[in-house]
Amino acid sequence: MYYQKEIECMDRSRLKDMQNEKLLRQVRHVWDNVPYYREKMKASGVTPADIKSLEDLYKLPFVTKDDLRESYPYGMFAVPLSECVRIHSTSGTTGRRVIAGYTQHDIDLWEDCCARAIVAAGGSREDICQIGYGYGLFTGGAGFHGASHKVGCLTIPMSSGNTDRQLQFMEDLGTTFLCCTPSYAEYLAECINERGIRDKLKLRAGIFGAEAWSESMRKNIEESLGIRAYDIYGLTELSGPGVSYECGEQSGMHINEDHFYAEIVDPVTFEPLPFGSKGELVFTALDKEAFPLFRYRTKDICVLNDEPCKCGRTHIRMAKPMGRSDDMLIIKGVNVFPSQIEEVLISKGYSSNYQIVVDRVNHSDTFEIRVELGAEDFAGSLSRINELEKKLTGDIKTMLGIVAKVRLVAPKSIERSEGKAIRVIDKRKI
Amino acid sequence: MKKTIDQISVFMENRPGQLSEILGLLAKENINLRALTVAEVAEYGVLRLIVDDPEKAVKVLVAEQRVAVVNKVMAVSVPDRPGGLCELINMLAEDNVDIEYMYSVFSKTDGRAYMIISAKDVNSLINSLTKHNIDTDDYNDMGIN
Repeated sequence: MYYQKEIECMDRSRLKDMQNEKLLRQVRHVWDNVPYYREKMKASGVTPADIKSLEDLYKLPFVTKDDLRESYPYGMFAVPLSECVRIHSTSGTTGRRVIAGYTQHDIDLWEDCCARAIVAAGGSREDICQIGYGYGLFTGGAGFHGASHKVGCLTIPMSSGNTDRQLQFMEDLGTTFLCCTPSYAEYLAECINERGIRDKLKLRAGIFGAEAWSESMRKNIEESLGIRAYDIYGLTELSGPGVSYECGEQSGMHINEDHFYAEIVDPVTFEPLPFGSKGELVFTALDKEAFPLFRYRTKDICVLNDEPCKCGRTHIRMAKPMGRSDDMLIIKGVNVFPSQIEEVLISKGYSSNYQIVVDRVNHSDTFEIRVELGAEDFAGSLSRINELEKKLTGDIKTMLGIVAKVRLVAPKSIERSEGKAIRVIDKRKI
Repeated sequence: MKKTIDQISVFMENRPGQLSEILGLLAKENINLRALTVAEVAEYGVLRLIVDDPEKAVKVLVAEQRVAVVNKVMAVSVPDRPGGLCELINMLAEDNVDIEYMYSVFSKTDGRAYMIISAKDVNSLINSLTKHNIDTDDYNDMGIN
């Protein structure tokens, strides 16, 4: 089943024509409306006349997170704010937070992409779709919500958390389709089986993304819930979930190439690499209006596959990302940079000697931050330490949007290796 | 004016060997302990000490990267009869003194019991003790030095 068959199964040469046409229009649009990127192009000695087709794409300068930081908040917007209808955002402070703008056209194309994912996973208007992604600035809830409407599913906008209510709705309303993070799906599966309510549920499929998961997690979710579990990929910088998605073959994620053009580049030399090579995934948004990025470096390490897929879709597939070329962590579905934590600690007068310990217990990420206690902070009482921990927990929640367990430890007690502190201990076995 | 005494508080992680390391540092510098108590939560604890030379003790500990501070506490001798402590505490409660923690010490020289009391606001504790004419003790009374 397809949502937009004529596009999803489009002949590749026609698709290429379409991409070329969109690219030329987009280069002109950005050159005319985004002074920040125009200057970058000038600095690289490129003008719109130099870009005649995708073959010339390599001439365009990359966009990185640093560019988004420098142009915060509206510097990358290519339309007046009056044309924009929404923003979404990633976690973090000014420096790390991405503010992505959308026109109605951008929302539509994003929801179309997600709708393709739902239909590819077997979803239809007969389905009752429970959305357990967070609603709000995070793109997970909004993207699936709009897509579920487009497909015509009965949409249950649950948002994340509150497991008892999730299960009650699932049982009472007869949810057939579930969208949430894979770790939460595993947790729900465990609760369902513990409570012995699996036979009362009508679940048959789900789409689980926003964090890394493995084939063994898929197997576990599929077996413990008796459903098919599908992967999806996306990032706020490009719209949100739905940049790519799995079809029934469950063998790589089809990139929505009519909107997003993918490249793999060498993470050191930045030279484009051929299909099948492992490198950094780079995306160009071909027809987004408000926040169109060229050659955005995702920092995800990945492989592209252009072999035809049995499902009939002609769009190329990407593998699950295999890691990061930077130090970003995904904890409880949220992007976390160690530097964000460092920033909070320094601004609150703590030593920048800290350690992040991430683990997965009962299918849910645990997140602990160990901070060395300074002599000046210790007034000699336990309640004072407790107070400091609580305050710091609050400050970190404000920064990241998720709760970390803050633990104050003795000075110089954080392990160092060859003089360099080990900042992140990730014990998760995914 | 009633006098406070100096107590040392040391931050400790809750793992084997911590107490032994700290006491070792003090022993090496010839510092004599008069009283000791440990308060703990899940992952850490606070060691509280009354010693003969608090200033030196803090210096020794800080030099070894320990987190140690001096707190002002009061030492109050408690009438040696049933209900003796209870009367004292009732009195402090009536005066709204907010006690953070307390522990007891027995003096080998006079056989008396002392309560070491730390209040959120040490002045409120001093005022209450003064008002009720309660004896407080300094190091000499407690047989230190």
